[in-house]
Amino acid sequence: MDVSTGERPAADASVDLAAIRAVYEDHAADVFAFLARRVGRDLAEDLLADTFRVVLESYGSYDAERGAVRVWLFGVAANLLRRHWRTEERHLRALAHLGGQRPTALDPLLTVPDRIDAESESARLLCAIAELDPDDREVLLLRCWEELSSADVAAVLNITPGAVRTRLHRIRTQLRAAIDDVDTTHPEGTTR
Amino acid sequence: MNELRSVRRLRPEVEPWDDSRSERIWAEITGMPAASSPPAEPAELEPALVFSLSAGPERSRRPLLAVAAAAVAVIGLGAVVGVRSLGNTADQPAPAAQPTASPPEVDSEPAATDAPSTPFEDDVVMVLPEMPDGLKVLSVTPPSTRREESVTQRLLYGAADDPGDPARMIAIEFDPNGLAPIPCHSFTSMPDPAGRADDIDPAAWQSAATPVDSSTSFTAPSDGTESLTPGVTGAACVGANGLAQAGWFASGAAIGLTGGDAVGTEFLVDLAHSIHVTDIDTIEVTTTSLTYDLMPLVTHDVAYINEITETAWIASDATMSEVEREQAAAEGRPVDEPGELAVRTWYGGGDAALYAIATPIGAERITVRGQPGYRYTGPGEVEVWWAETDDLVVRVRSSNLYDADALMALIDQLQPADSSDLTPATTRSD
Repeated sequence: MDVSTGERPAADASVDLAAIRAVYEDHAADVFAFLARRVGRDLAEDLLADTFRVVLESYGSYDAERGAVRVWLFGVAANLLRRHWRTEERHLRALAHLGGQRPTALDPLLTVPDRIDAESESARLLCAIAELDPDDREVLLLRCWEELSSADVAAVLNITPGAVRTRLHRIRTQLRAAIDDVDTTHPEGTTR
Repeated sequence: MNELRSVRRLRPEVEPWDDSRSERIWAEITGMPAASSPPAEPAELEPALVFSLSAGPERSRRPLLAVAAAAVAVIGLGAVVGVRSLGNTADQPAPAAQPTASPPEVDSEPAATDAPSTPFEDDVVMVLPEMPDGLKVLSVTPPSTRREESVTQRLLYGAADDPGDPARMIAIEFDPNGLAPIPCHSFTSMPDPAGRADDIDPAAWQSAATPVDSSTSFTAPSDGTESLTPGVTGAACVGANGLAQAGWFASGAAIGLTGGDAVGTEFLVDLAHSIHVTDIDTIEVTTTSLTYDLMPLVTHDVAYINEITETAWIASDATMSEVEREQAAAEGRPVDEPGELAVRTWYGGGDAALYAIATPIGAERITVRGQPGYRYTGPGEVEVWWAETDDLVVRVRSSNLYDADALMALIDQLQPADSSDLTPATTRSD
């Protein structure tokens, strides 16, 4: 939004569509993969389109010195993802309220424990990931699945690189503890 | 095991990115026809969503948030801040083309029926239908998210039988870097840093901490029978605001306690002995048997990760600009301290936001617009904050402007509006 006027610039002729198209061709596949891994293909297409609408809107204010365009794109996409979940959660809460039921988890990761072969090591690790704090899970998956550097993860999430390192340390501890706990409690590989 | 490597191995594969998908989405973004528009894909079940496991749940296309037509008739902040209405507030540009699939039919209904969850979006702002005479808007902060984590974390405890009672609350402030001032201590012996302020050496900072004269020292037993690190010394006192406080350094961290009106220093010292540092950024209270239970909120994560969207505006009765005031002061002419009215909204923080936006300790618990809230009254200052809905907390501060009653009357007039329609002042209204 243009703060001086409060107006949202439309995608008019002043927008350098060719430049944005180049950005799209360079990065859309990666951003789509990031989104699809989290919400599935159809929704990922919608969110990718939304991401580039934001780019269209604000490309003029993009400051290359503040980070690579790829990081900027992931940041926009991550915010839209969170917004989507918040919106759907509210929506589901309202539905659940009307129906007297508990809302369903939206992040597909959170439904993992209900869907997987719970006896595999991968399943136990996924359960542990699903139980992470959502912000921590974002850090973990951006780092491990999207292979962003800690500095880039920090830029995407608007936190400090130190905070990323701190969280990764905490995440590893939690994952290790969760898996060790299962191993200790169920030495034969059965789960809780 | 290497946990991160194991997680990496679990990365799900996604469908290849192909030209037809690329062109179709680009056309959707720009509103221009695709170079070769393939027919829309039929709606079908998602492939396994995240993992190569059993089939994932069917997912519909993204429902469009249909904010009920809560067309709040807001005239605007006089001629200064123009506001139109709260409508469908998804903060994206009008899409050139919407997805072809219809959103679920349920989208448009339930939010409006769930009263506490009023369908505000995160760009909502509370505005006055008409600006009081003499008041002009100085600044408008459009929706923004916190960019940095707070260095200091805060845990807030409340009494088990009434967690919202500010008189019996206890706040634990915690800085893992050990560089924060702690209550009941003076740091005047700290030499000025040679470089920037953030170059201060934590050890030098902590050794400079001197308990104030009116404080009472406490020391953890050296035999380790207390959770407080053996041998650690702290100080407790009654601060200038009349509230009991305690502070100490432990494991390189700075820890401070502040209690409400009904909490004494002895209680804080008891509590101090049950607190220990467990990680580089966390602390634990090993016992909550002191009739206090942890409140369902708090810590910086609530407020400082991209979860809370903040919007604010500030109005003032200043008759001089900042430059004019500085000039008048330089010339020895009288300069009045201008009054200010600041309205801040936090969206998305949930229950915790009511306690995170300001500390209720030292404040009065009140009902604001029919909702739970707090009011702090200090010299020349009145501050009121409350939970307007489940997701929206509002904080209004008056400095040198209104008394408590006048501010409450003004607050009753506040109305929600879409912040994207909020425009800052470009001209004076008079």
